[in-house]
Formats: sequence, structure tokens, C-alpha cells
Amino acid sequence: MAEALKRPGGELASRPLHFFWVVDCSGSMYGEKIGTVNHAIQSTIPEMVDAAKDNPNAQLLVRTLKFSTGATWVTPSPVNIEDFAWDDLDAGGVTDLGKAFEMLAAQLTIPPMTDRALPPVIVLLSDGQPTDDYKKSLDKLLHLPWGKKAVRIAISIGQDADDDVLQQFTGNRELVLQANNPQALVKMIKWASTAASLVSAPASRPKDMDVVPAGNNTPSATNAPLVLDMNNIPDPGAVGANDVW
Amino acid sequence: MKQMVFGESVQGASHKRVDKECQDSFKKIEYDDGTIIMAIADGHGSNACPYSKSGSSIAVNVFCKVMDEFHTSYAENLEMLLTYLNREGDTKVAQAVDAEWKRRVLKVHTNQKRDVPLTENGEKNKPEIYKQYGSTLVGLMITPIFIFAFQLGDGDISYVDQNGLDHMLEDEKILGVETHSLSKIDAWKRVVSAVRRRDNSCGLPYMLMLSTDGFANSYKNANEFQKTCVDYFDMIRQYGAEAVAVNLKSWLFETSAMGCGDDITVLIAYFSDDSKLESEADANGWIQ
Repeated sequence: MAEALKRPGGELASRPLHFFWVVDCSGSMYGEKIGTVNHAIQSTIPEMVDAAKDNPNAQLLVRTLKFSTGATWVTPSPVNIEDFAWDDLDAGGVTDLGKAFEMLAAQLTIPPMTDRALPPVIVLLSDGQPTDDYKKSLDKLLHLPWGKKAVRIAISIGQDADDDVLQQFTGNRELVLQANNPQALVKMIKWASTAASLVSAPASRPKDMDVVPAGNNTPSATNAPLVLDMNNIPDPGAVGANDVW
Repeated sequence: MKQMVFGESVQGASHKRVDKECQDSFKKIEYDDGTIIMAIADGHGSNACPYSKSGSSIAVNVFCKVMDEFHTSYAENLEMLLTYLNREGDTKVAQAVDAEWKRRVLKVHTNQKRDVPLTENGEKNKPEIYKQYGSTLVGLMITPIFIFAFQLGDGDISYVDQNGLDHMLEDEKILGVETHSLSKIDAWKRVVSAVRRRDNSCGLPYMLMLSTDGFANSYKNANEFQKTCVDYFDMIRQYGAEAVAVNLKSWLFETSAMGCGDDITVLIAYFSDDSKLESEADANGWIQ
């Protein structure tokens, strides 16, 4: 009878899944808005940890990038979700979204990304209009291989946010989530955080699956709807309509 | 020369957790003249592809059927077959495989009385049907004088001998979870193929390994995957193909569990000098 032999081969590893919170910390976010963001993202962590435990074959790595006057990595390098802790953000300054895109792009090149990673998830939260020249750096981001493949979600906070810019980032109007009051913001942040669990257990799919509009070869076009549960996006109108930013 | 062909398909660890069946398929045919036809396929498994297990099964059957027909037609003139495959491998052969896969998918869909999506004109929406069966396909035809490699979508064809590892084909590497698919209209245009002569007077032993992407994706990086292919070859040389075949299923389960969690299929053809295959394994006590 053949006896069991030790498995041959090299080092095994789960696939990395990079999740980015990109948070507008400009002056207009001061007070209730940034407070709600801090509270809501903090509250998503236990569920993200549980979701990661349900899929040990994906290594969920989280980072936070804040932008106001300039942009800064709050987390200098990716952190395992089990070790991730939210540091409350303050608000003040202008809205250098372009700088944020530039710093994000630098992290989506290969390296430091690897080609065996799962599609990264980027959640951008903003309440205003960019004050720097964002187009060039957004274009660069969206032309990167991992920039194109990333699941890109935007949360538009309040009625002064520039949804056109956010749509340029997401490539899909449906993925610009409206949050005009604290309750809606919490709901949208919670929904966005579930993207990690959906991306982490993906099946393969045909290249250029035709949900992307025919003839649309722009880099902003996204296949994110194929991964996310688009039917489950919270209805912003159904949440706390009396208190509106 | 002695040859042994063996393989396994395992349900991925992440699929087990959600009770989704293995979407991979494989098939091999061995002929008396020593020719081998072997194929693996990886069904996409997404919600948009509920019948991709059926799609991958159809894929390996179609490849074997199409190549079997060539084997029959050119049995007396393998040189001519070599020339033909070299010239038409990624055109006429690819078109034949593509067309037959789609024909069989429509037949299965009808026979199973599954919902038929319609176009705006009320006609059968064939692309929407194909999509539900989406699969990759990777195959080899190994004759006494040449090896023909065929690939549509992700997966690997690895050739290993005492000099190390070589990839028979370089398929387009697509980031993330996308892949080229039989389900696409004009899928044949995405096929890559190659023909390599066999020189049976030297180079033994050697191994050809087909693997679905769940295998390579379970390793830390490309170097670790390549090391793995070489390790499997060394294992066969040391313990014999039969010993590796017996252990393969458990190894692949372990690979998926500690790696990417996807389904994994590995299909191996090992060729050696007659005397050496048995003497090494016998010396290790593997032959009863």
C-alpha cells in the first residue's frame, strides 16, 4: 500500500485584497460629518474581521488615506484587518483630491501590488469640490492596470459634493452613493465595507463581460457591478430625510 | 520509453464553504501508438455562469473529440499533421473547437429545458446562453513526433525535465479574476497554440503538467509555483508516478485550503526511460 508522502512544492499563500478608505478631511467636513465618518468606519471593523475569517483564502489588508491641504497616508503600509484600528480623523484645510489620486496611484503600480492579488477596493468619501487639478492624476490612476480593475465606490456627503467628479472616479453613477445626513452616511459606509467580502470570494469571469456599455473603452468604465450586489445599495431617500447636510 | 498519465480535480476550499461544486473538468485519452490527448477546463463559477461546470465538461470533451478526429485522419502521416497544426492551430483548429463547444452548449441547454433568453426581436439570445456555461480550455496532443499545445483562458502548461522548467505557451496574463472564455463570441481569436518536436532519443525523463489557475494562484509568487512544478517532477523520479498519483488528490486539497481556495485540477504526463521508471520506484519500495 502506498504510504502518504509529504506534499511537494513551494510556499503557499492566500491572495491579498487591498481595501482603501480615502477620506476628505477638508474644512467643510468639520463637526458632524467627520464625526459620523469616524464612528461609522470604526463600527465596520468587527464585521469586516468576521467576513475575513469566513474567507481565509483572501488576506484583507486595509489602509487609510486622508486629504485636505495635501494628502497623507494615515496607515503607512497595508494592515491586516485583524490588526486594523481606526484613528479618528480631524477636518481642516482645502480639498486636494488630485494629490490623493496621485498617492493612491503610486500604491497601485506593480510593485508594490502583485499580479496575483484580488481586485483592490477603493472607497472615496467627499463632501465638496476638488481644489487642485485632479484630472491628470485621476487619469493616471485609471490607466494603471490595477486602477482599471479596482472596485471603486464613492460616497457623496451632503449636497455640495461634486458628483460629476465622483462619477469620473467610479465610472458608474450607481456607485456614487448619496449621503445627505448622518444616518445615510453610516448606511453607505457600512454597505461599502461589504465590498471586501464580495471581492474576496470571487469566481472568475470572462474578460470584458458585456455589462460595460458597448463601445465604452474609457478607463473609467468599471466591472464593479459584476462583483458588488448593486440591488442592495441602501436607498438614501429612505433614511432620515429630516436632517440634511 | 514509458509513459504515465494521471490527474485529479478537487473542489476548492472556498467552494466547499459555500457548497458550490467543483467547476473544473479534465479528460485524457491514450492510444496504442503512444499518442496522448489531454485537456483541462475551468468553469467560471460566477452567478452569471450557473452552468459552467457543464461548460467545462463540454470543453474537455470537445477538445478530445476534435483532436481525436485529427489523430484518425492523420494517423499515417504525423509529419503532415505537425505542419497543419503548426499553421492552423490558433485558427482552424481553434474555430473548430469554438464552434463545436457552442453547438453542444445550445444542445444541452435545450435538452435540459432551461430558460431561453430572447433578443429584442424575440429570437434565441445565443450569447446570453453561452455566457451561462463560460469556461477556459487548456489542452495537449502528444504524438510520437510532436507536442501540440492549445490554450484559451487562464491555466498553465509546464514542461519539466532535468534542465528545469519551461512554459510551452505564454498566455496573456490578465490581472484580477478575469479570463478569456469559450463563452465569448469569436472566442477562437483568443486561442494561443504551439507545436514542438519531440526528440525521444534524449531529454528523458520529462513531464508535461496541465494545471488550472487555482494551482498557480495558491503559491506566494511565480517562483514558488515554478519550484512546485519542478518538485513534482523530482517526486515522480524519486518515488514513481504511481505514488504521486495516489497522493495527488490530498495534496491538491491541501494546496487549495492553504492557498487561494479555488478549485484545482492538475493533469500530468510523465515520460521516462523504461529501465529507470521502475528501478527508482522499486528501490524506494513503491512497487509491490
